[in-house]
Amino acid sequence: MEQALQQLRQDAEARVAAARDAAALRQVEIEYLGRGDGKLTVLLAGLPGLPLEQRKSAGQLANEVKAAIITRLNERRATFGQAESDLDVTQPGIAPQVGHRHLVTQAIDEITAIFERIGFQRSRHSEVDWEHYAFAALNMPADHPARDEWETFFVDAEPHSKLGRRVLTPHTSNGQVREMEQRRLPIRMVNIGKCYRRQIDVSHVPMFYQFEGLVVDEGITMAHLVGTLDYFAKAFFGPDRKIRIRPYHFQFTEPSIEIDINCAVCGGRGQLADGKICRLCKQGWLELGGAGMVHPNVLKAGKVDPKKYSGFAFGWGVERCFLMKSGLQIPDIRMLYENDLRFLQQF
Amino acid sequence: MTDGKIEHEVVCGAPNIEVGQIVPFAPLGATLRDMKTGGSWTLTAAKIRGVESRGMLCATDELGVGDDHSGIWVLPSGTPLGAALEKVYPADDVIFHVEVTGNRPDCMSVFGTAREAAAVVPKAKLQQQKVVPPKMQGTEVPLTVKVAESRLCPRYQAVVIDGVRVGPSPLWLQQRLISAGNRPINNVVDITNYIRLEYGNPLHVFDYRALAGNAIVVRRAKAGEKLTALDEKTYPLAVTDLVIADAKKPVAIAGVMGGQDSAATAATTTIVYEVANFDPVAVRKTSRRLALLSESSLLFEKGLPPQATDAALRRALELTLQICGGHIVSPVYDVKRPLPRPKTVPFDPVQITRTLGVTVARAAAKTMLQRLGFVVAGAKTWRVTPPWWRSDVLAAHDVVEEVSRLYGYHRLPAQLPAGRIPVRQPDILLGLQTRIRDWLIGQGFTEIQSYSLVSGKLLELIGLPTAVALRVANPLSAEFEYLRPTLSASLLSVAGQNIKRFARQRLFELANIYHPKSGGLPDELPMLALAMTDRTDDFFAAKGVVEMMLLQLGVRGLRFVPDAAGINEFWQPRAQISVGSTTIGRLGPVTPQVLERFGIRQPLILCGLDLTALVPLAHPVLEYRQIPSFPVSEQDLAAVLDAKISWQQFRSAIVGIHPLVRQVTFLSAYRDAKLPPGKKSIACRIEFRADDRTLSSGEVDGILGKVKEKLQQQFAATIR
Ligand SMILES: [Zn+2]
Repeated sequence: MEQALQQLRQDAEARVAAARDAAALRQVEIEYLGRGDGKLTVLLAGLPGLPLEQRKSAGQLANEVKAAIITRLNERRATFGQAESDLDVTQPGIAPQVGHRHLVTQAIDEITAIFERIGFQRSRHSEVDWEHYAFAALNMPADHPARDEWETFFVDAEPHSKLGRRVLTPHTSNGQVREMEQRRLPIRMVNIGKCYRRQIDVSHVPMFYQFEGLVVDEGITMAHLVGTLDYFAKAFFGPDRKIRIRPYHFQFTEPSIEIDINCAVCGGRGQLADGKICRLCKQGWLELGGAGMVHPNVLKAGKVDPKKYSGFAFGWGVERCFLMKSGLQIPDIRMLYENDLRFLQQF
Repeated sequence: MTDGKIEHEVVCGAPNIEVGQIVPFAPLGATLRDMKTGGSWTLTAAKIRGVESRGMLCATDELGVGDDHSGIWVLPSGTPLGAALEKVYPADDVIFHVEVTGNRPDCMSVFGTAREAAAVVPKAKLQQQKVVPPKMQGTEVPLTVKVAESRLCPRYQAVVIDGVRVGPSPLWLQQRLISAGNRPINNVVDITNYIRLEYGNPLHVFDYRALAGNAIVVRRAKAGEKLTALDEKTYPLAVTDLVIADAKKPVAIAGVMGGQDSAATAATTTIVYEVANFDPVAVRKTSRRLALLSESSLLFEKGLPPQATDAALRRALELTLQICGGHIVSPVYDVKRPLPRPKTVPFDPVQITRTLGVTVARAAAKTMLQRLGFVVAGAKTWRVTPPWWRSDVLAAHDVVEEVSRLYGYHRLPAQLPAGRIPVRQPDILLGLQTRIRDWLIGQGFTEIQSYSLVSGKLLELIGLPTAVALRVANPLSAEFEYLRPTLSASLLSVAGQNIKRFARQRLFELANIYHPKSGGLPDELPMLALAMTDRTDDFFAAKGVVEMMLLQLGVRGLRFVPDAAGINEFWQPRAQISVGSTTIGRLGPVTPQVLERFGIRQPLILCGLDLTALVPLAHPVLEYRQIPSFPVSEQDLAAVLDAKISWQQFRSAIVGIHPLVRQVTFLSAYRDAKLPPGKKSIACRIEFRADDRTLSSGEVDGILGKVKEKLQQQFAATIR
């Protein structure tokens, strides 16, 4: 038996070496290793008739012979090249399960990373907060008309005697005084959180995210604010984009500004190459959001000495910035929160 | 109607049409603006109420000159009949749209904007129009003006003019009103609106004869009083509302809107002008409470200076005498508190540099302030007095902003903050969320983000009473009424909404849930919810995901405890997920009857994890264990035992039996008819390994024998 196996191995190796193409090789493979009437299979059919000891050693040898022939076959096959193999590479691969990160999370991750590069750390603050932190501490006392600008949701519960009602924070700016109260200066934070306003249409959702930047340190100036926003705009939207600053008014910053970015669609001209008005921006600029130097009253509310420290802050919409950047042309912002898998699994 | 030559039959349903008016006429074939599309259309003959209408009388919007559609545009009486409108109406105007921020009511007028522009635009000069102070002529008529609430009405000016001819305004005046988005009504009303636009202080005009007792009283409304305003709606007044009343009743809601009964109409010949100053908070409260906004209330609630009434009143008199005729028959009543004096602010110019980060020359800064009307005194440090129209300037940082604005933000250099970068412990929860998210997405899960505000109906669908949730006092709609106390409902709703197109779903959401806390802010609890659904039951697939994820997160000593207590109508949790004595979450299938409510007719496994509990347990520990130098010996073992014995009990019995038993791995468990009743078969693989030698088969067999013995003793197991 062992002799016959050795002989079979020699024959097979010689035939492999003599094969001139993949088809001939396949022929050899079938002739020796074929399941039904391959020479090795036929030879092994005689195994059970042998005494136990011989059966064991012959079985082992048969395995070795088989492995050797396969190795030779593969080596020889490799020399013929891919084109002659019968592997159809155009057949689809077996797809692994692919997961999807929500678009808003993608935006948050990107914004976080940009600010981390210049030493901002992400922080978290309450989504439901006292009126005090959402308004009063931000230099908007009760009855201040500025409070109307935020279409604010209130929680149906008895107000606190000092801190007022519970509000669904209409902006992330409640985090400003909350952060200052932790008494850890200097501050360089980016607070990204859910905000709520009473509005819903193609460009507004009642729940959305804002990212709030706050820097408080000695010697912080408006030039630092401009530098930070310019850095963010270029990092997020692209190095060739430009920002424009307009004077504005917010109760909790002084001076206050609004920042525009030049439109990528029309290159900031407000007009397309064919002379038509740019439908995205109309005038060449898109409004990014507000910013300013932290109002001394806000610093005081956070128990920070405005004579020693100064700071700047900005609070912008995540979805808005992301949609402006990506050029995805998503027709309705509400799609982000409808969770249609046909939408989510595109990204 | 006639165009001066030919008569035309035209059907017109406008409410303001009267015999004798001169109005714009579009003949057949005319091109008119389509209000709905913004395009244009061509006028053809049409039958209206059985009469053929050959042409159309136009409102300003149809002609593209204004946006009013409440009535036909009535032209002044001198307008030549049959003349082309563009010949008599100068339409080629330039209109600037200026966005004025809420803190600058002084700029909310043509004059105010010009005043600001004169300061901002280099070399610009402001030319003030000269208004001659009015004189009383003719016999004085009686009028008493009393202000009972001087805090809410710091200044009230009034004057009576007799012999006015009320009618359409001249076209130049109409054009300016239309261009500014106002609707011409009649000349005296138009004058009040025009001066509001010009000077930024609202005016009101009363019909003198409508004022009972020839009296004006500024007071709070009395309980039960009502007023029908110019918008023809009747408003119930509250005792907190400030009103203008005559001897008997309210005739106007102070600063918000006048009353219909005292309005100046075509029949009016004697008018009273009111130019007043009202408390911004009072006006705003009343206007909000009545849901009645007007151009006037929007200005007053910003806070206007009482000084502004003078010029507006003089201008009103000038225009009235010029346009409507008549003569002044009363003194100018002027009931006022002492006028507020602008606050002088001590100011160190160094603050400009400190705030901006660039040096602005002192002389330049001073000039900027002076151009804005500020008085600057002092040498090293300044005393800066804002002009009376700038009540928004209260402190040094406000002065800095003025200089910054005029210096120009675009001239500031872009610098990054130089100071020390604060080094803090990274937020552990955020880190955990990122690791969970990354891991699940790697496993093929899709992240969803849903609204934290949900409907009471959604909570009911999963059997939660709305009482456990925080209710929003002023929800946008019933769809967004409650802050969700669970993520499950949202997740089920998303799964159900997609189930028709996606039979196999792997979803998760990382978000806060909200639990009310009496007296304090609600607990905002960060959670992970994940759902797996497929046509067949995925329990062990879901358990595998959760188990491996927690292991990867560094959680050690994880246990899945049968959770009989948690079973309810909503779900049948098979397991509580615990570490030590802490329960960190639950895992199990949702009941078919609840799934049915979401349109899901296949098994769905839900898992909720409490991230607050998980944070202290999920340590990403990097630990090195020596790679074994000696081989492992594996033995498979199957036992038939009581079906109530859990895998965990079975495994524990084997693990501790000998230090060389390194691992016990589950292979299979089953019950079938061939086994004795109440019995099951469990199979496992046991790994034996020593650190210092290759184990002999004798050693392994010895331990295996002990294992079998123990299983027989402890569980009365039959080893197969
Ligand atoms: Zn553009």
